[in-house]
Amino acid sequence: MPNRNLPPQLTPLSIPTLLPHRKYQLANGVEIVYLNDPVQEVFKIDVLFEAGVYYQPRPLIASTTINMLNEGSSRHSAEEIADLFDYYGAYVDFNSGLNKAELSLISLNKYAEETLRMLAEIIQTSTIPEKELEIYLTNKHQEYLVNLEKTAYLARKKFSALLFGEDHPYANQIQDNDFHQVTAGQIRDFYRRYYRPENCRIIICGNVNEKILQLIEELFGNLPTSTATPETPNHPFQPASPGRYHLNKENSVQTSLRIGCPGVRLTEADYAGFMLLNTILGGYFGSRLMSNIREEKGYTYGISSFNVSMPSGSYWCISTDINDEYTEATIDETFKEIRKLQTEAVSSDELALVKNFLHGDLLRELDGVFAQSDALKHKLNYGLDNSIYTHLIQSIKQCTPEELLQLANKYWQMENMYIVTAGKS
Amino acid sequence: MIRFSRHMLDNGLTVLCHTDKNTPFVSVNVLYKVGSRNEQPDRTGLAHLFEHLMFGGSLHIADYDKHVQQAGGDSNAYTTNDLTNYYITIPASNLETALWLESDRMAGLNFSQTALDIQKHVVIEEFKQRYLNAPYGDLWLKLRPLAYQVHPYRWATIGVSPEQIEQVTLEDVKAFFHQFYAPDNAIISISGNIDEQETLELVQKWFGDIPPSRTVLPPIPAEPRQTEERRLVIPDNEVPADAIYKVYHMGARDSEHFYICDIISDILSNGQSARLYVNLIKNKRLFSGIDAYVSGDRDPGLFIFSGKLSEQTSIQVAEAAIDEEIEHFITQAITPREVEKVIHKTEARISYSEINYQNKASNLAFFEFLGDIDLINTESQRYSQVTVEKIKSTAAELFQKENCSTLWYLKK
Repeated sequence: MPNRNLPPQLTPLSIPTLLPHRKYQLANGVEIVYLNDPVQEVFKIDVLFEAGVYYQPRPLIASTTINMLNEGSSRHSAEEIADLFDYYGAYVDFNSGLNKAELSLISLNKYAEETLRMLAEIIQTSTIPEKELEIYLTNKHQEYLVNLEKTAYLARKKFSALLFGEDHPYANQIQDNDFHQVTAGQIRDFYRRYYRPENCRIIICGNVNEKILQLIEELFGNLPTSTATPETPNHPFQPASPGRYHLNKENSVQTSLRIGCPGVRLTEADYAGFMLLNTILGGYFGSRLMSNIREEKGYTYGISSFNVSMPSGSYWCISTDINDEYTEATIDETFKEIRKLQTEAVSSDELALVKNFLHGDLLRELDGVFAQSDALKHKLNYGLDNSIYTHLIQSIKQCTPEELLQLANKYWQMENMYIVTAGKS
Repeated sequence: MIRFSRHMLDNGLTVLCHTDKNTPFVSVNVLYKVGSRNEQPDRTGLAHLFEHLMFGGSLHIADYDKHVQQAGGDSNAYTTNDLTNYYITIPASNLETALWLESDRMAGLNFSQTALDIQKHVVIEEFKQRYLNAPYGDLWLKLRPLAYQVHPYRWATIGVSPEQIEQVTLEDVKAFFHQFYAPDNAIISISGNIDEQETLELVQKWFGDIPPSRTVLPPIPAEPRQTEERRLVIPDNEVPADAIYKVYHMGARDSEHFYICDIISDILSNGQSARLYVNLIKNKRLFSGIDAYVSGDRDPGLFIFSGKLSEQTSIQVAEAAIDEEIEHFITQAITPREVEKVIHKTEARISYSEINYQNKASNLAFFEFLGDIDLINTESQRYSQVTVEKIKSTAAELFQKENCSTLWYLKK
């Protein structure tokens, strides 16, 4: 019989094994980055343009543009485009972020020629047909109305408006009538201005063989430069006064709570330490907030905190949906936990555990070629690559309880906190 | 092709191993053959509540999570109508820690009234968050008892109501553990950067002495054949658009019927070039979203149409449009391209799912649970064997009015 009281010996965690990536530029300015793993029979390509919500002249323009790319090209209708991707079992996905807009394609290598040609075609010759645009906007409008019924959506939107300023593109505030004001002309103009080679980065991973690289060069090397120039707007943040805000939603059965303030950017010296501090408070299943609010009190199904680094700025936030009766108690307990981290040193046991968890979590972010590509995509936005992981793991290992106390006092000033609740009054 | 080994310990535990040297991690997946279909009608939600208690400490380990985290691992679980699945991803060198943790909670739990009371509150908040505070969240709570009258699929995994979860006692929980949590009712599936021989020895070391329960599980009542059309209207919901669901009884996950029905659902609605999307969203503009899919349950399941209506569409027109698509499907030709497309999609879907060793571990356990582990490598054949004639005759029989339950979920 094994001795169950005796845990198996733990092995120290390894440093990450980074897959090499190659980076070069096509003649027209398109940047190519790839990670090859010949074991795969699948590849993934992400095509990114500097065309996110930050650049849009009005609400909905950036997301509508990226989502309209497959709704009709110079040579194919929306149905024919969808049919080709479906026929070859490929998945295309469209995503509009804060600064980048992104198309992704996952395809079997044996159909690379067909699927890549169509991907390039929709990027280069999309026609943004009126009928398709109207259908898209009508359906998006309905989605928006469904979102308005969700307390979590209301709280999240209010939180970004407070943090960035009501009119800042990052707050991405959408009103009902915005859906009626988008025109095909606005979308075509945004498409011409921002979907251009010098604004474009392509990341390929999986089985990236010579054939795929040649195809990419052929297809994206002639992505034309347009005469319409992109604007580089300057939108400073206009944060509201910190404090308590409530949104009323009478028929709700839970309250959504957000508490937060500005955070730490990936390039700042405090990033690794703050990541560790945040993990202790609310960044994993055994965190202090989870232990207190869920496992001891049972007020919620889940509570978490996270730090978000953005190209121009950062924020830190706690998020939970709670039993209405315990809204005040949850806020009180949350601030108690924050104060504790500001006044009492973290024990060496807890610190060792969280360091190990975080180390493992960072290794998981690099598990396999597809994960490493996603990680790299994010790091490239800051002029970094995945070698930052080695540095992060090292810094986390060296972080002391005293440093954590300092960080908690530096970043979690009560007078900087926004507290947003959405639910019954 | 996924190579795997399959063994059974003397106590009845099935052990599956798959080596994948492309990752520094290993995934340990423990599947218990118990889900909400094994619950009693007055104690629904118990299987899922129990899943929460499995993280509350076991006989020799007070804090399960702490050890997972110290080892650089991550763990979670889910409960379905058919099964409960626990998984850990952990650096391969710490595999033994995962086996120690999983074996100890299979051997016995630290039951306490306090822990039970708190997890009941947590689950009730989960109930509210997912089913009551979310638009359309309670729809399936209403649809299940319409489609099933006898089989326990008539309630959702979360349970019939928060009140029933409130009523669960410590005795219920203990009895549930002794009945279902034992090596002869479980499958362990390990995939990742492992040495199979060493792994088997470690599994034997930690799990080998856990006694089997040898319980004969009570039979689950079969759903009698539906003979009349069923309808339910739920008015006055706080939602911006009406929704319609039409569900038809179909075969079990491991039957030939499942593969045919899955192909029917793909032809109807897999992708933006499929019939429902093109005809009903794009051309007729009756719906903002519409889908056809199969439930894939272990016991005979459901073929589901779900649609969200465009603002100007009446619910009667919406239903007639779905009926018309069904009628077309039965009476008109299926093109060879439609069939090829489904075969390609299936082939690609299987390839994509084989990228990740965690998927491979849970798929292996799932097919073993179904009773045919070779399906991990033969599913694509099961799809390609389906003929157009079979598709048509199956559709004609499946989509009979008296096999259908229709739910109208109407806005205020």
